[in-house]
Amino acid sequence: MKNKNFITYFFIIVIFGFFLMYPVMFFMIQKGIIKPVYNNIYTVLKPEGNLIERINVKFTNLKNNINTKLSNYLFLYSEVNSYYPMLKNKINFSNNEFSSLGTNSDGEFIFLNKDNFYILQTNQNDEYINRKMDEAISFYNDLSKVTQLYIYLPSRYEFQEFNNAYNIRNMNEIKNNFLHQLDNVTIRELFVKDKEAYQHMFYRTDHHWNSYGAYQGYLDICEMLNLNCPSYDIVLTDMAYHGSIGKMVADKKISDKFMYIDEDTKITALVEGKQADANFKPRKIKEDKGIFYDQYVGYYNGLYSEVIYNGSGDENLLILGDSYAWQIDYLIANEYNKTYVLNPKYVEKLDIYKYIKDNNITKVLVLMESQTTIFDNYDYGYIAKLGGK
Amino acid sequence: MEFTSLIFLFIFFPLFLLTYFVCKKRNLRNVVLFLFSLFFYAWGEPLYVFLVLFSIFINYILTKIIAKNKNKLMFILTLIFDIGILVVFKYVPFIVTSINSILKINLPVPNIILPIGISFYTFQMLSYVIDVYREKVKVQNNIIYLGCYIIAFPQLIAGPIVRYATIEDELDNRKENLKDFTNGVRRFMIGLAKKILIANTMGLLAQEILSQNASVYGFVGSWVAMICYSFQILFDFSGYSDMAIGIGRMLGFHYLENFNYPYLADSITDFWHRWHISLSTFFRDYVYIPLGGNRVKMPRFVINILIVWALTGLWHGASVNFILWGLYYGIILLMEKLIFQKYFQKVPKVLKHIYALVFVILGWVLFRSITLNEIGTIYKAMFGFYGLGNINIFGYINFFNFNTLLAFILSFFLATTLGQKMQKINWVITDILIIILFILSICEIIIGSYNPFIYFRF
Repeated sequence: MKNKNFITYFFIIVIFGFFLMYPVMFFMIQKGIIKPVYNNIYTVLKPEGNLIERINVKFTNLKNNINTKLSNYLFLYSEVNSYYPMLKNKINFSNNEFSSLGTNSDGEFIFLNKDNFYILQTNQNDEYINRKMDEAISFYNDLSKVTQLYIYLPSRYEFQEFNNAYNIRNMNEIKNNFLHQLDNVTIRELFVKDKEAYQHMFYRTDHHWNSYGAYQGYLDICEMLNLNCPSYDIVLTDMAYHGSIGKMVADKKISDKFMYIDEDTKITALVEGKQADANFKPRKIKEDKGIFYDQYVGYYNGLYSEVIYNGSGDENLLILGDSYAWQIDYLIANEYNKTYVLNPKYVEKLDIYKYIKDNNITKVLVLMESQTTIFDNYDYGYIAKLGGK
Repeated sequence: MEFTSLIFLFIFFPLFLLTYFVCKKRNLRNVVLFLFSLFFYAWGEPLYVFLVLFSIFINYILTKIIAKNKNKLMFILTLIFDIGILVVFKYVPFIVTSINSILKINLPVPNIILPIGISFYTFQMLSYVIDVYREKVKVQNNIIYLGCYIIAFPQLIAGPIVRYATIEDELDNRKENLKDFTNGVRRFMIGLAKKILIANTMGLLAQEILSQNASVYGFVGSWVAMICYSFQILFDFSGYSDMAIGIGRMLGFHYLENFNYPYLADSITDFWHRWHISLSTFFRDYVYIPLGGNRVKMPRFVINILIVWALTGLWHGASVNFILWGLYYGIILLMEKLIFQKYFQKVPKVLKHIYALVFVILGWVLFRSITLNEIGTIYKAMFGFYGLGNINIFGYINFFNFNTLLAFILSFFLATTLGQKMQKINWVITDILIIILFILSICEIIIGSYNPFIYFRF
C-alpha cells in the first residue's frame, strides 16, 4: 500500500459516514420505513431546589433525550448490538458449571444453571451490602413513622434455598437480617415453593419475573393492602424471546415464551407532569420485532421517574417501584384515587416526606427487585435522593 | 462530553472538523476551536462553563497588568485567585470534614460539585501567569487565543497539562497538514483502543475481583486485581492523553508527551520521569525548584520533597488516600536518592524492573481505595494474610474470555516499545491492526459497556 494516509481516509469515512447517516435514519424512521430501537424517550423529574439544581436537571433532561435519540437514530445500532456480543461469546474459554458467563451492564455475574436458567449474582461486597442495608433499614423505619408502609419482595433466584450452589454468600441471611430490623412495616415475600414453581414465575433469559410471577405478586399485594382486586388470565404467546441476560450471552438455543396479563384496563395518567397518551405503557409485547429486540424499555420499564395514575378508590397510594412494579402498578392503581409511582432509578432529588404530605398519601408500597429494596444493589442512591439519612 | 461517547465521535467531532477546516483564516479557526470547546465543556458542566469563562477573563486582565510593569502584587493576587478557585471547588468539603473530625465539631460540610477538569485547567492558567511574570512568554493580547489555550477541548478535562510556552507560537502560526493529521488520527485511534479495549476490561476485572471478600480473592486474586488495575490506570490515562495529543496534532498543535512507557522504569525515580510527565515537570518547575530544590541543606531537602509529593497526591483528589499515595512516593524517592542509589548500579536490570513495578502496584492500592479499611484489607491480602485465595474466582468472574485475552495482548504491545517497533518495521500491517482496533472500540461503545474515566475527577 503506497498511500500512507489511508488510515485517515478510513477515519474520515467512518465518522462522517455515521454523522451523515443520522438525518437519513431520522427521515426513514419518521416515514415509517424502519422502526426505532427505543420508543420511549425519558426525562427526569423536576427537582425541588434552588435555581442551579433546576437548571442542572433541565440540562440533564435535555442530554438524556439527545443521547436516547442518538442511539435511536444511529446507523447499524441494532445490528452491532445483536451480532457483536454473539461474536465475542463464540470466543469463550470457560466451560465450567460454576463459571460465570460474564457480567451484565450492572456488573452482576451471569450463570447458567443445570435447568438452563440464567441467574445473576451481585458483584457488591459485604462492606457495601452492610452499609447500604443499614441506610435502607433506617430509611424504611423513619418512613413507617409517618405513613403505613408495605414492602413486597419479589425474591429472585438468589434468595431461594435451592440456589446454594451459585451463592457465594448467604443472601437469605442478609434478607432475614434486614427484615428483623424493620419496625411497623408490613412485609410480604413472593412465595416460591420449589424450583419448579420458580421456573413458572421467572423468565429463563431475563432478570424479571414473568407475567405469571408478576400476577402472583399482584394478588399477594392486593391481599396485603386489603383490596378486593379483580382477577385476570395470563396469556402465553408462541413468540420466542431472549431477555436481557439471554441477549447479553447471545445464545440462541435458550429462549423464553412471552406472556402477558390479559386485561383491557383504561388508564389515565400523568407521566412526569404531562398527560400520557394511550400507548405510554405498552402492556403487550411487540411480536413483530424479532427475538433479540430489546423489549425492556417498553414492556418492563417505562424509564419514567414519576407516573401518577387516576383510579376509583378513596385513598392515595405511593409506590416506590422499579421495573418489577411497572408490570402491575396500573392494576393496583385501579383501586386507589391516585397512585403515585416513583422509580428510584430515575427520580432526582425529592423530599419524600413533603411529597407524601402534599399529595395526601396514606399508604406507601415498596415494590422493587429485592436486592434494590434491601441494599440498593445497583447503587441508585435512592435513599439520599428521597431525603433519607 | 467524553471522547468515547457517540455524541463526540459521530456528531461533535465531524461537525467541528467541518467547521474548523471550512474556515481559512487562523483567527476564525481559533474562534471555532474556542466556541466548540465551550460547548464541549458545557455538555458536562452547563453552569461551570461560566466559572471557566470568568477565570479566563480575570487571568486575561490581570496578566496584562502583570506584563506591563511586572507588578508583583498583581502577580500574587492572580495566583491567589486561581489557587483560591481550585481550593474552594475542590478542597473545601475535605478541609471542613477534616476540621470536624480533628476537633470533634460539627461544621456544615458544603455540598460542592467538583467541576470537571478543574485541576488541569487551573494548572494551565498558573503556568501561564507564572511564565508571564517570569517573562518566559509574552502576554496574550487576544482573549479568544488565551481561551483556546485554557479550554481547548482536546486537553481540557483530562490533560495533559499543556504549558503556554509549548503552544505559544502555534496559537498564531500553526500549520495543519495531512501528515500531521494522519499521525493525529493514528494516535487518536490508539488512544481510543487503549481506553475502550484495555482500560475498561482491566478495570472491570479488578472491580469484579475486589468486590468479593478478601478471603475469596486472597493473595493471588489481590495481586491479579492490582495488576489489572495498574493496566487500567495506565491505559485509561495514557489513552486519554493519546486522544488529546492526536486531536491536537490534527489541528496543528504539538502537545508534549505525557507518558513514556512508565512500566518499563527501573526505579521509582525513573517511573516519575515517565508517568504523567506534564504534572511532575509542573511541580518540579513551579514548586520544587522555587523551594530550593536539592541545593539546600539535607533537612530542608527532605521537607521540600515531602511538600512536593503531598501536593502531588492532593492534586489528584481531596482525600487522605491521595495524600498518603503522594507521601508514599515522596518517601521512596528520598530513600532511592539517599540510600539505594549507590547500590542500584550493582543490581541486575531485571531485578530493578521488578522492584519498580512491585512498588508502583503497591502504590496503586492507596490510589484506588477511598477508605483506610479497604486499603488495609487489600494490603493484608497482598501479603498473604488471607491465604492464597480461591482460584475458582477466576472462573466465577469469567476471567478467560475474548476481552481479557485481547486486553492482555494489547497491553503487552502498548505498555512496552513493541508496538512502536512494529510500526517501524511494517506500517501497513500496523495501520490495518489499528483500524481493526478502532472498529472493535466503536462496537464496544455502541453496545455500551463499562466505561469509567478515572482522570475526569481530577
